[in-house]
Amino acid sequence: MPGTCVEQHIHDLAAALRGAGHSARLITSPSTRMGGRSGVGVPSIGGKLLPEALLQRRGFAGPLAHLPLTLRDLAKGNFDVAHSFSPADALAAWAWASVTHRPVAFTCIEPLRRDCLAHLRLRRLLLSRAVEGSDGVIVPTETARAALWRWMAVEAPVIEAWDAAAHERLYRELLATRGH
Amino acid sequence: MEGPVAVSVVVASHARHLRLLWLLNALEEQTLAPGLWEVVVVHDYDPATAERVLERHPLREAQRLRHIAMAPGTGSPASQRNLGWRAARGELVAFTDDDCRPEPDWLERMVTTAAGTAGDVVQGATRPDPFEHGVLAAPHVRTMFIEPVGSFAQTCNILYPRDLLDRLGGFDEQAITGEDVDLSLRARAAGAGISGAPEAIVNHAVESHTLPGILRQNLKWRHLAYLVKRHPELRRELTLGVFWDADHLWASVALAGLIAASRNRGLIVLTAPYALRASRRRGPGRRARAVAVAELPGQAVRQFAEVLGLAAGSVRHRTLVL
Repeated sequence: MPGTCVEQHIHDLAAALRGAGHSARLITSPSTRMGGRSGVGVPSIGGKLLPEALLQRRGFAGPLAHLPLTLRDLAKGNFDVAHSFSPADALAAWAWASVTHRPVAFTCIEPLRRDCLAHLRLRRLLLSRAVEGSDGVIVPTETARAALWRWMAVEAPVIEAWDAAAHERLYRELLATRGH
Repeated sequence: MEGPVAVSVVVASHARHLRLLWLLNALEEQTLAPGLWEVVVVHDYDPATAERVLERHPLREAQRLRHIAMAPGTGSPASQRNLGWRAARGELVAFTDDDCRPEPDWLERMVTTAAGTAGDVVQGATRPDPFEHGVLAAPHVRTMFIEPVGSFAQTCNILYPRDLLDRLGGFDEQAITGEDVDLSLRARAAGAGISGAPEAIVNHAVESHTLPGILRQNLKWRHLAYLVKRHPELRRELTLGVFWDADHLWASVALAGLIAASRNRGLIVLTAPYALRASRRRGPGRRARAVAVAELPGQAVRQFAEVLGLAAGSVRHRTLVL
């Protein structure tokens, strides 16, 4: 998960969920700041398999290299809900959900901009799969909400990272929608 | 939304609702005075998608967008565009495609050029979207680069006077592809000029495809023979009057060499010009050459498939185009 703002968001959410008594686990790449332990007692798993630089040179939206192991970790985890924060991770979560029939949430953290909607290979596909294929889509700010509507025509409620209760409600609704 | 407007923008859309949304957002930013133009979209989206993308769009709320829904899968680019321009209220009809992003001054420049060349068709410039240049790293991409006035007058960036469309009867709905080229050739035959508006820029999407995907997509080009049969003057634009472009010429030679090599191994040399050309398509430099060479087998399969598709079309329409 690139970008400190995104990492901070996930860090805050994981801490809030942990504080509310949930057993949140992070699946992340060891190259990020959260690799190993998140610093708030959230166990973190995951790793890299493919050379990212090669994919980048060939114009792919990334990071993608960690996806096979992300999928493996999701499959081994017996999770109730997968919550992704990047379009690429949402793809892994979607693949996991199609086998387990568990719900997937997606937080579109950064406000979308026209110049970043299709600037790399697979970007548009991953983005549209993330927002149109996830069971629940949320945003952390009003700016992100407006941008998501403008560029993807998807309405999403604003839920801030620290709001564990709102996330919990969302997860319960998604589980109920999937019949759990 | 009542009363005439100066120009109607007509868009045919199918299976690209996100791209259509992005186009509408770009049209929303046009500098031409709001009261002077409208957008007419003809599409085959389900009601939920149409509600999300079209009904709730700011252009719709500003009463500058109308849309016409067709039953899914029943339209063609020609029939959709005909429905669109016939419903248009403008004396000028500008066409663009749902995978395009016009620059903010696009419509203003098209209308200004049209005003200075009364009765002419106006063609603007089309280029690969600079926002999507990163996708050009893919081996199989589809985009457009057109400097006006080009021979083919594609609908991604063209403007027709409404009365000319009436006189011509619009697009040929029998044409599976090339209906835009056909219309422009009939316009020329009817005495209309085509004026260029090189500063009226439309940015075309850069879409990457898998090899099977691009083969499927390019299957439709086999019907270009129909177009050439209808307009023999198009042969002037073809390489040696037969080949769609120089790539097809050398791909045909290479294909012939591969087939003939089973009887005479020496004839494999006929593949060399194509291989040399394909290995240079990424430009100079060692890395670019290495990438081009790595992509050569896929490019060859694609070009051979295109040539064979055109050969099949040539048989069907009884005129040779490769």
